[in-house]
Amino acid sequence: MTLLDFCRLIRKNLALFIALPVVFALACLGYLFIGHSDDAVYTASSRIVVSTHAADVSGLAAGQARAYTNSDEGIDVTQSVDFNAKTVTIIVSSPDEEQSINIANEVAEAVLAESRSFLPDNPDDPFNGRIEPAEEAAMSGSTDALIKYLAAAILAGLFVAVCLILIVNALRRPIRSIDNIQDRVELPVLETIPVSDGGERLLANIRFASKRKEVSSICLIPANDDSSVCLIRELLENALKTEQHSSEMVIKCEDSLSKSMKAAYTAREVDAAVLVATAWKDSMRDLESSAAELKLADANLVGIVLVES
Amino acid sequence: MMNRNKAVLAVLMVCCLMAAMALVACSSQSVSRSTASESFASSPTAEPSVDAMPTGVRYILVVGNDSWEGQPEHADMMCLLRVDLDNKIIHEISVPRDTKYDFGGGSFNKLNQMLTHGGVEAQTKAVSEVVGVPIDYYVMIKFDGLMNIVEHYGGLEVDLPYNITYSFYTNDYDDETFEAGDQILTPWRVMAISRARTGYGDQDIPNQEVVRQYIDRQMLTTLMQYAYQNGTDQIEPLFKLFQGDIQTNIPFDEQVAWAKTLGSNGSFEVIGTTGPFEGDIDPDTGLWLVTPDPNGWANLMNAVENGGDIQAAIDTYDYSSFADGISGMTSTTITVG
Repeated sequence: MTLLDFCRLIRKNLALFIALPVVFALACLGYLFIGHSDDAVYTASSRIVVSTHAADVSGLAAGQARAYTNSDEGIDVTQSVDFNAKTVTIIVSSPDEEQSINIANEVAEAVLAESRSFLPDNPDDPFNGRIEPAEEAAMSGSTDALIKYLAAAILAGLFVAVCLILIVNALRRPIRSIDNIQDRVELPVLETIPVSDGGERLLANIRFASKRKEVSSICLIPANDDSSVCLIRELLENALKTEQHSSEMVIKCEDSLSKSMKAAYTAREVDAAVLVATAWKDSMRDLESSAAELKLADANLVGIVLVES
Repeated sequence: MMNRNKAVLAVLMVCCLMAAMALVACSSQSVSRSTASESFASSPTAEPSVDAMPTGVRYILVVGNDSWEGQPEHADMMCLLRVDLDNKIIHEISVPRDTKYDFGGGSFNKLNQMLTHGGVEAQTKAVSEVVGVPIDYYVMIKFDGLMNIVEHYGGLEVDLPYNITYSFYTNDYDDETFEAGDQILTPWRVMAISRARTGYGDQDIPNQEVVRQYIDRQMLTTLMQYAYQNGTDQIEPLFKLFQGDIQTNIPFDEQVAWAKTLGSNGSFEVIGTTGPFEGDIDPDTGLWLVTPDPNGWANLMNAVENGGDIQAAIDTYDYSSFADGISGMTSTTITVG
């Protein structure tokens, strides 16, 4: 299979290729929001801004953070310090939004109170501090995690879709090209549709391949998909009309042999029987079995018309 | 055709897996860089709650936890403190991080990996086995705690034996370059030098880890000097201030009582050295490991515990190629007040 064949295969199965990733993404969303809504973690941050002794306040904050951390209840309290900005940030994660906010503010107040009572009162370097309280708690990493899960689900959907398409393709063995037909069936491809000459070449090739002086009747038999057979009959009729000495010719369209055996009887009676194969819709198995059946019926099977799109 | 389908399928699977792996990105922590240097003058505080002076000997393992930017934590610095409250002596004995240790079932690795496997208690127990003395206590400090303490003092005086350029292995901060000699380091540079085991260039140092141990012990001793510079009255508020910066199983009252007892004579001695540090590529693991030396440890600890000749106990190790300051044993007197 060439890359071009693969692209065509995807195009033919575009609905599945799009639908499966969407289904996977929706399933992932459902799982996250319905099945695991209890696992949400909310993170709130409060900040202590001090005039001096940021390191000492950070040390006190680390002690308070450890005291408030309760792994059994999923409460995690950490702190970080910025010596240059003289700020100490209290970060609280817990399963409850309000709880995270409250603890973040409680710890900040406790640290500031401890700092005020504990740090030395130096008139040259007085300690001042204020709190920038936590006002909201964000679901921890929710956006990032959601994007990651969704992307993973879409990728999984694409992967499954591609696998399905390839497996079905491997089982069905659809007709892909002229080469594909000539490799497997010992019959000439008389023409590929669409054509630009109005069907003149197809008519000529049927006459040449029939090995008869006069071809007065033709039977068109689809390998399976019959949607293009009438179009080919119209092409041949138009080609006949454009001939200077147009002769009488009966062009019959039949159902595929998988539907009815009538085509085999008709094919025995006409001067030339032609199989119509539609790329990607008909399988090699359809074509091979039709050709074998027509040979058994002793029909003058002159060749194949390949409908490419 | 089936073979070609399989090939396409395999390529697609690999592409999808790679894309999925690319999505698993880790967020990184940020560390604030400090250049601040401010002095602190502590005011006297109330007397300690422990009336009776504690006596005897305490073994404490000081663990420098190298947790950094979400990387797994290791006990990269291990210093065993033998605190002799009766004779007012602290022995600081560095335990090489690369010491070969049996993690069970014949699985060998570096001793400092035990922190990752079993936590600080397991690390303390492992060091106790290697050193051959019962260690009941630990104090663990991470880089942010170390920087907080140094920031409290407005910097830390260090006498470096070599020039060194330290490169952060995470490549997210600029290199820190140090010149040999006396200097006062900012908290950030203290953090950098405390972890620097490489970056000495072509100065022909036989064992860079020994140099780091020497520097780390020196910094630990200097921090003790700072702690006692305003007398023992300062100890309790200082320790209270630093509780958040460390993790320890020593009750606060006992920390204060031991420290006050040590300083009760107006001074005490700190003797520093390192345990057996010589090693080679280990045939079991393919790692460079310090060869287990139970006899070496026994001789050293015997000298430490019985007031023997420590220098004689470590003379079997070759210090001749190190800079003059790294002679194997150091002795510092900490003056209180």
